[in-house]
Amino acid sequence: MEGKIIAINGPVVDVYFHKEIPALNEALEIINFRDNNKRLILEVRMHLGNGKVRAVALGSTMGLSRGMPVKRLYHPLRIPLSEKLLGRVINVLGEPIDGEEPIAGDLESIIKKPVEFHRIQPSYSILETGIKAVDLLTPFPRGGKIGLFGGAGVGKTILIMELIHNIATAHGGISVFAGVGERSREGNELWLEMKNSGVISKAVLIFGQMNEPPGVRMRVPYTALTVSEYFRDYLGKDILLLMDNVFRFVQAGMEISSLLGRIPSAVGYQPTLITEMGELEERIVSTDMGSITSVQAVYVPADDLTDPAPATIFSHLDSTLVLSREIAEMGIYPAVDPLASSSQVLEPQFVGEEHVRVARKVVEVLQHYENLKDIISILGIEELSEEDRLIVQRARKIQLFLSQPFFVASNYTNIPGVYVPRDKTIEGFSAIVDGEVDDIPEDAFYMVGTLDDVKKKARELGAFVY
Amino acid sequence: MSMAETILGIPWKEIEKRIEKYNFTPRLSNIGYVKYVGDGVAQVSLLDDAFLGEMVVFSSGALGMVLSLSEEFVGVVLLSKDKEVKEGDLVYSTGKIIQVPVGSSFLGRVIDPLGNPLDNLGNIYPEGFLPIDRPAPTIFEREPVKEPLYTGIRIIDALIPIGHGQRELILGDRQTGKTTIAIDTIINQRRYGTICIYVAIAQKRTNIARIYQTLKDYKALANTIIIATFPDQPPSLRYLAPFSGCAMGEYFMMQGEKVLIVYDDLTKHANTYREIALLLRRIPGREAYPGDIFYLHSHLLERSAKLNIKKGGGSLTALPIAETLAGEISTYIPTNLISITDGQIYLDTALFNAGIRPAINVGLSVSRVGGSAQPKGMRQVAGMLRLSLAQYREFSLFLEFGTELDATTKKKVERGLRIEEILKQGIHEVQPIEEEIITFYLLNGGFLDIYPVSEVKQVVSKYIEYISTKYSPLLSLIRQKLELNDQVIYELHNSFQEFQREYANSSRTSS
Repeated sequence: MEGKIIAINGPVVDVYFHKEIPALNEALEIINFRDNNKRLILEVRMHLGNGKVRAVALGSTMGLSRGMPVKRLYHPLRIPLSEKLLGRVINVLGEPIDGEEPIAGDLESIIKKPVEFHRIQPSYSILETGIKAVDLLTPFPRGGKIGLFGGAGVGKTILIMELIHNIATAHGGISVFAGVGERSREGNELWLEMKNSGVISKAVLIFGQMNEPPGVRMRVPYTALTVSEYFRDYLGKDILLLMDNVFRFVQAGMEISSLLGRIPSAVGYQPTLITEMGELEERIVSTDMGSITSVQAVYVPADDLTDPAPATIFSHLDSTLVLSREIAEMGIYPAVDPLASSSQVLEPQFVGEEHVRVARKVVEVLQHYENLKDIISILGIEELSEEDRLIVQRARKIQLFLSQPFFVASNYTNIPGVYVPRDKTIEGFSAIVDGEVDDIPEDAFYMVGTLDDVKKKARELGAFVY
Repeated sequence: MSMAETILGIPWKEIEKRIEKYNFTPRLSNIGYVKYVGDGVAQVSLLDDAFLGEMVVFSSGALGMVLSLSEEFVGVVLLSKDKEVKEGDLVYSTGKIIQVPVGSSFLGRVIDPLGNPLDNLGNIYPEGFLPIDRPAPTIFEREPVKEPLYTGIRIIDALIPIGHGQRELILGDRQTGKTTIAIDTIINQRRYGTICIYVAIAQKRTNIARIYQTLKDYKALANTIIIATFPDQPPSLRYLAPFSGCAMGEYFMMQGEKVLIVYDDLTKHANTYREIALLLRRIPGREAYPGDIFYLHSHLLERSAKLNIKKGGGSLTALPIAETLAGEISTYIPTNLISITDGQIYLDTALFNAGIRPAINVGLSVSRVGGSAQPKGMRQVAGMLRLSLAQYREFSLFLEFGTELDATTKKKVERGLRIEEILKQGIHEVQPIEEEIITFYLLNGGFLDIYPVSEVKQVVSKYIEYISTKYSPLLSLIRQKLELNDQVIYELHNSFQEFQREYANSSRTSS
């Protein structure tokens, strides 16, 4: 059955079908003779009445004109699923973009219902990352959802890259990376990095970067999810799903929302923001078949955490890491804001008494320092009591000790990366909060790994350390 | 040649002739009528064959671009103001997607976004045409940024290094020197043969005339194309300017050339796009910008890339400029741009007023990829420089309180003062990379600590003058190798000691 284009507004195309109109979410096809006969896929999003449907294009609409024929495909967007996906790089439609041969496999829809309630398995063991700030303050639940929030240029992507370096290499399962609306350059670098480290052989990369139209960017996460679900359900694997960046998914939805004819909601977002987010996030679950641990970068527009997009995403996560510009400006990377970050597994039954004690104490000291800051700026540090001055010193050491040289940034910092096991992390911070290292100068705590490294650096700086 | 001829490569008269000879059958698929017109936007009826992005011609000779197609009307933005468009005018489709003429014949010229000369230097004969909206290089056509692009600005080359194929945002309040950094970078490219494209978006004519003159004076025009749009032109031209500049740059990139493009500035471009979107009655979003304001700039800036060898190895480096208000970085458009680019250079009004120019705030500026492109010699000195500067900043806070300093701290502060002085740089005083490396080497090595702060710059320039006459092989060795090996360091030491004696003598005799 063929239809005809009747209107085009950016990536949104209206099509008329004389009879047998396509179902919602059905894929359509246009051969664009003005663009080298390129095959353009569209997805039906609305029925407008009288045989008209409104569809979103998953490619450029340049060169389309009214009256061009549109073919029904009688199925939703679908991708090939098989073990052959491992080591490959695909686009939203499951087509290879690495220049290799097409992927063989059963075609399956990327739009699916969430897993039945009774099959969901919350698993709460801890996934060690080797990153001090993460392991101490926002331990990652294996099989849970983790969000990395941050404004532009505070280090989200580099943190994701470090996590890939630290977890994916050691992780026994399969890594699925979804590049959603981010830089193509980063896609290229990630692919090279994974190829060089060998991780690529047990990973699948799916890209729909910021040069792609919104129709692509809002479906790439679904493609990545479908791949993850396949490996979880059919192969019973543990999956590490990395998504950079979930905000871009929301943004793509916003871009087409008004073109679809919807009235905008708060701050110009789509009225369907909460539903769209829910439909995506509720598919990311661990089941009796296998687990999906997802790490999602979330861009915070204009550094505003109360923006509807990040605010909506927050409620879906088990562990949230907030990266702060203020801390990044101090040169502390990863720029984790300890007072704004949290984890549901930072409880004694999951991480042990000592970890919880140290983490709470760290937050307490930092909060105390925060409260003292106003006094310091007005009266000067000399006016503080002896005790408070000690708190300030320890807080500053904690802040600096939260920094860590990254493997993936060693090119830039000229300092080799360090992996710090969780017990070493706790040992280090407990020494600071318990006052065991009050006599070590604070410089020694900056950009080092463990407590031993601190002492070593202190000696190099000329301090006398036992 | 009329505007229509330059762009379409079809003489206007030819079109008329074809229409005259047209064998009339009752089909009006490629002709339409203007139904509504105003504010630079026209709604055209019929014109059934019109496609998205197509160029159309009005009977007055005015050009337009198809931006939307509805059941009833074709939405067209007008590209010319000089030729009137009124209700009932005929509109002809051309069958051509909007494109720009490209080629090396445009180098040294000032043109509008459609390739028409604005400089009274005669016709330009293009080498070809490219659509202005082209797909960005894919992930597999790229390679990591690895070749340095020297700006000739010491603070940038040392601490915020840029590589070919990078996108580095320049942002700051008005009158803080954003354009100067871009222009100086263009000036410095004459040494390295990089092709430069300067895209002026809604800038006043006097500004562009000044830039043109500057580039001419510094002999940097021959490698540069200036694409100019003015505040009083139709919004469509201002909207198209960066895209057509990008297409012109891509033409050279595809031939394996190194290209640098400056978009001055994208805040104005965002405002222009908002104007068009609102006129087309699109529903406004945040700050009344249309929902796809991010995509507008992301798919423009993603076209900048370093291509891999298979694709010819060319590159397109972008320096987009954004204007902040009252120093606020974290507003909508600037953060959008920061999240697209590979780093930013932030210019600070407070620093500017304090006489520190270029007024770059090193703490808020970053280059995410340039570090790996930095030559070895610069990397050798930059690390130390960054550290000394950070320490100085920290201690200078104590200085304000008048705290007594111990000897080592005092030394660090004295060093810091000299670094700050050396990092100041006059407008258009771009420095070759080898001289930058020598300058920083002298700083780090403490050679300059004995001179008063006010004198260090003079000492450095005298020294470089000295070795370029007496030790020219040393200078060319550094230029070629761009590293500080034992031999270079040894010779620098010796020559500086020699120079020092001579300098002391000369300043004694002169005083």
